[in-house]
Amino acid sequence: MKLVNDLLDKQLLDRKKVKAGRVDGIILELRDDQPPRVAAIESGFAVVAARVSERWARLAVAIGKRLGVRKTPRYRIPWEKVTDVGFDIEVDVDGINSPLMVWEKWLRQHIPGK
Amino acid sequence: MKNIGQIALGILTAIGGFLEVGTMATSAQAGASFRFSLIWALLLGAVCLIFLIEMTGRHAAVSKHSLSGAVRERFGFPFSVVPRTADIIVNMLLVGAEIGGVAFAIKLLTGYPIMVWAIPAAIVMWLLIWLSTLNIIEYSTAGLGMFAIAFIVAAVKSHPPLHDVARGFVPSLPRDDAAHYWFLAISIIGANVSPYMFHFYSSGAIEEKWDEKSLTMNRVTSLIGMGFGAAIALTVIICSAMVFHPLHIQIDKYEQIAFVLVPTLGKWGIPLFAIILGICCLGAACEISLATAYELAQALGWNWGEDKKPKQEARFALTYTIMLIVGTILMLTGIDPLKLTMLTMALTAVVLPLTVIPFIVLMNDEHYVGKHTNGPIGNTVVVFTIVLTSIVAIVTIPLEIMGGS
Repeated sequence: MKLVNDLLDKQLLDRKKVKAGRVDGIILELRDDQPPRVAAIESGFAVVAARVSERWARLAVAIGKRLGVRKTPRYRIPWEKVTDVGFDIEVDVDGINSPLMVWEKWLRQHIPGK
Repeated sequence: MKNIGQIALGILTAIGGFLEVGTMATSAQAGASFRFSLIWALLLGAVCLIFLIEMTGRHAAVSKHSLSGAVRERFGFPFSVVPRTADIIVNMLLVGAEIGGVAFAIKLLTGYPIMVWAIPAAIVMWLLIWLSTLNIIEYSTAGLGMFAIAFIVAAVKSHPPLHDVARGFVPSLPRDDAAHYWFLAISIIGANVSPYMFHFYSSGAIEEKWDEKSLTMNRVTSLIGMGFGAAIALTVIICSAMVFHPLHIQIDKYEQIAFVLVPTLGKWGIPLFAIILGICCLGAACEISLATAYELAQALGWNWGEDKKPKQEARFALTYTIMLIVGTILMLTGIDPLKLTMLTMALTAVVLPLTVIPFIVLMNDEHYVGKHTNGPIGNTVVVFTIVLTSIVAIVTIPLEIMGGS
């Protein structure tokens, strides 16, 4: 697998196949005398902002704290939870009850109607 | 029925590109100031648009992936953040201009000022998007957009000199006021080839579940939809050239454009113009607000869809709501709608290359489009459009300063 080509920025689908964000970052674990391995994938605006510049990342974290809806600016999904790597990346996570869709959940609770 | 839906999507996309406030303004100014000389700019934009819209539909039908999502996947976030941010800013201005167009249309019918109608117009747009489905928006706007045929009737009745009209299809150098001529040329291209059209068409194709069987119809839709839009825009230039140019009237107010149908259609001219402008701007504002929501949701991987209840796609619904609020606030500042429109058309031209450049990669990537990659003609058009839009982007700001109205 080519990590940047096949994993980074791909669509994340939760266990119900709901669109739950994108793979914003990849966490590699460096091991002695062994090749690095993918430990987790990351999602969150602070993660993508950091890919543009550190200043943007700090700003994203500060705004996130001020708004107070999302508690964690970076959400790590252990690699063991990744169930399929294809056109989209499927993860064994309940999107709406995870930090992936915390804004969506907050808005649903505050939007009137069904 | 699915075929009718496809054509309706094409016509609504074309209304957003060709029949909204930007095209009315740029075409009317072009006809009034330079008679038929700028028809070539319209033709050039239309040909590029027909090809690019067909590619957008083909990409969506085969890959089932949106344009905005594919750009992020293929080029990465640091690249995609630039066009997406630029698009969102320009789209906010555009929504403001379209709300201004609807408010001006109602002003023509009632006499009350634009600022009175900006909020009611935005509420109607918001309700239309919030309560209905994509199909309802497509059918209603595409159907009512047929009022625009009045421009064809008016153009025929004005008996334009066909030889002069035909000469307008060939690019020519201006005899005087070159800066204004070239500014209008790029504004016409900017008004017609707008990035939001690609995102709207691509997302509409996915919402309507197009597949490889839809490809032939996609070609027909691109041709009919964009052809219809370009034909109406052409007749706006002709009508304006026949009405305003002989009187040496330079268009600097929307109120002047409203008279474009009067010499040929008499007392029905102004109400018809108001109805056409109102319907088309309403459709365009819905299209641009939705396109921005699609674009942002797809780039960030949110769940999205106009056919689902707003509560199920809360971030998507919030995005188009914010677009309409910002557009309304813009109009309430008292900004001149025509000046805002002309500025926005030029800015659209500036951001256009950022949207077109990825086409050359995406439409040749078998991972996305399988065996339906671009042929030599398609690639030549994309490269030509990239070069054209890049030149346009570079010269727009200097021309805006020298020749903008």
